[in-house]
Amino acid sequence: MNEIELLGELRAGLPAAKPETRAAARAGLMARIGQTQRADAPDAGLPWWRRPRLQLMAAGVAVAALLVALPIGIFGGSGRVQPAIGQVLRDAAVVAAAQEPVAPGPGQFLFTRSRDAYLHSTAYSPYCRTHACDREHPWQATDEWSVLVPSERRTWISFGTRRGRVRTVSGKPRFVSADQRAGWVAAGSPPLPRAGQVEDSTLSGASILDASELPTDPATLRRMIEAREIHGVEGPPGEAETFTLIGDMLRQSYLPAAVRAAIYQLTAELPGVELLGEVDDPLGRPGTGIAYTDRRRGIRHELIFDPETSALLGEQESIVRSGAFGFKAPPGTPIGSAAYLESKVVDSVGAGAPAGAGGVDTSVGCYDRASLDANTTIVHGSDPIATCAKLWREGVVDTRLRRLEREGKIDERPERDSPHLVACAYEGSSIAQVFPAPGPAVCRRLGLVPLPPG
Amino acid sequence: MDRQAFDSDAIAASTATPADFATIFDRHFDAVHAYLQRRIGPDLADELAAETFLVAFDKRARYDASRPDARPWLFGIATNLLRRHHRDELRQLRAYARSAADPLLDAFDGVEARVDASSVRRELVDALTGVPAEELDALLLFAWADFSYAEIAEALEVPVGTVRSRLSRARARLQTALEIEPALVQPLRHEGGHR
Repeated sequence: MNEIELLGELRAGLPAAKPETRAAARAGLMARIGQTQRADAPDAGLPWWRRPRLQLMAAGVAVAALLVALPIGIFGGSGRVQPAIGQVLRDAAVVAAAQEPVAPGPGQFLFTRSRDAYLHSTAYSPYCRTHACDREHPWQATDEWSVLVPSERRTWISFGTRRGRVRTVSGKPRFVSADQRAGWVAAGSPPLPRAGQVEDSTLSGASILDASELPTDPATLRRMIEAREIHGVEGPPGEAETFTLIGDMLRQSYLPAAVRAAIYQLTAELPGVELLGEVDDPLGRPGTGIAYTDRRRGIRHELIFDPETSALLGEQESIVRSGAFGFKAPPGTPIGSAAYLESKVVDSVGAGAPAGAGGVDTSVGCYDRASLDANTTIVHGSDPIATCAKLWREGVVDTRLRRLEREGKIDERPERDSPHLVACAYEGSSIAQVFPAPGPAVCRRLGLVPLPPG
Repeated sequence: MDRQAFDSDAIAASTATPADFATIFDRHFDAVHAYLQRRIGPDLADELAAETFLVAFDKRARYDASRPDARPWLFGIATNLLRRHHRDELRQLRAYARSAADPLLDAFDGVEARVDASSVRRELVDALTGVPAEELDALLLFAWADFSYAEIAEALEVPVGTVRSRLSRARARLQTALEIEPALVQPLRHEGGHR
């Protein structure tokens, strides 16, 4: 036997990677992929109530990315266009073509105001560590819950080089369904997003769609959207995502009338889009509804527009069967909505904002290990490190203690010292991610940027 | 036929649609993990294998599209990440040579650290601790990853001639330690192919 053969026997036959190791690594990769897609996507192009899906912590980040990355639309849609919807949308196109677009000049801002309800989910990765992660039902994690947080948003998007802003004032959260409340109770009823909370984040002007890139010929525009060729109108393949992107584009009130008309015209030709007729938007304003049902994910996405002006009034996503998205709730239960109230050109950030909107608070994710796969407790606070340190001392971050307490194995969580904590964030994000680590190097290792202390 | 039959196609597609990079993960994660695990144990392998694909994803735009198989590239990234842990690797090998029990096996649940009765193997492990890092990388890509000289060259980003000399030096070290007559050693494989 020679040395290579001897070497070949050394440590031969070790067990293969565990499925949960593989799943966690894949989730980490998909999270990174999701970040890339988010970085590429325009801030203003994402519906507000869809963004939080991308803001989940830890497993949540991965899960969100998985959802986005799934090849959707395989079973979605009926594959034929109803004649009625074609007529309605062609009419909308005619109306759209006659509208004056809002056209901010350089140095000006497009101000929009919307009222929405977004999904705020907290998910823990032990699920993927102990189970084969089921991508269809990532929300089955035991310590995991979702609430719908109503909020009012004001955005100022710069059409020059200035920084824009988003200001969100949150209302009282409510659980999506009874099983979600049960998940929250099981996890020890940690703090939920507070009502009345104000969150500010900046927006770069890079988020604006370049109208000069957009053709006004419906067939060409459709091909470009379906090929995901337009910068800022990107996403995974599939009919359902195409429908979502259509909604994203219709929301951009500054697009030229001819482009908006083309969007309505091409939507008339899309397979699987159904006409709902006259429906109310999430605020009860009447409009014309169209919808796409993604049967694979069990989610229906409705767009409601004003037939008089072609403006997008609102959007809503709901589940079409119990168990979809992991929610045990009746079909029709909403999982997100938005109503667009106002859209106008202003000269400065803050113009149009109500007085006394309050101080700046931010979402904080307290991780129990220096990894994006770690268990996470999401709370709100103005000082991320102090907020998480308190939760460490109270034994909240350490889910092992919470579980022992829940199982009756310990009477109460012992007070303990907080480890040294470091706050990081995704580039440009207002959400702080706090890890136990000796120094800020951990941020870069995780693909994040360090936040200054305090 | 698969639209992305070659890794290079999937990587090229992933520059426009990043999610396509998952194909590369699905094809190669197990092999990368197995190699890392054999070198450094399961815990670090979990971390480094995951990191390998993150690094690869970040670098995907610079992938040489003329190379259909991404394995050499991925193993090259993994090897670079391993370098940070060369001392740990050596420590484990020394402990193995000393105690005849491979500490790497301790990390597996339910796998008892077996005491290795073979004195030849202990000498082999001892000899491995004396192989310089760059020769060890070439040697183990050859012996454990079944890489050809050309693939090793691609992974380590060195000319094939360098691979040849590193391998022959590494093998000579082992032969000396094991008192194998170099003249009796036949090449196991041709340079270009796999077993």
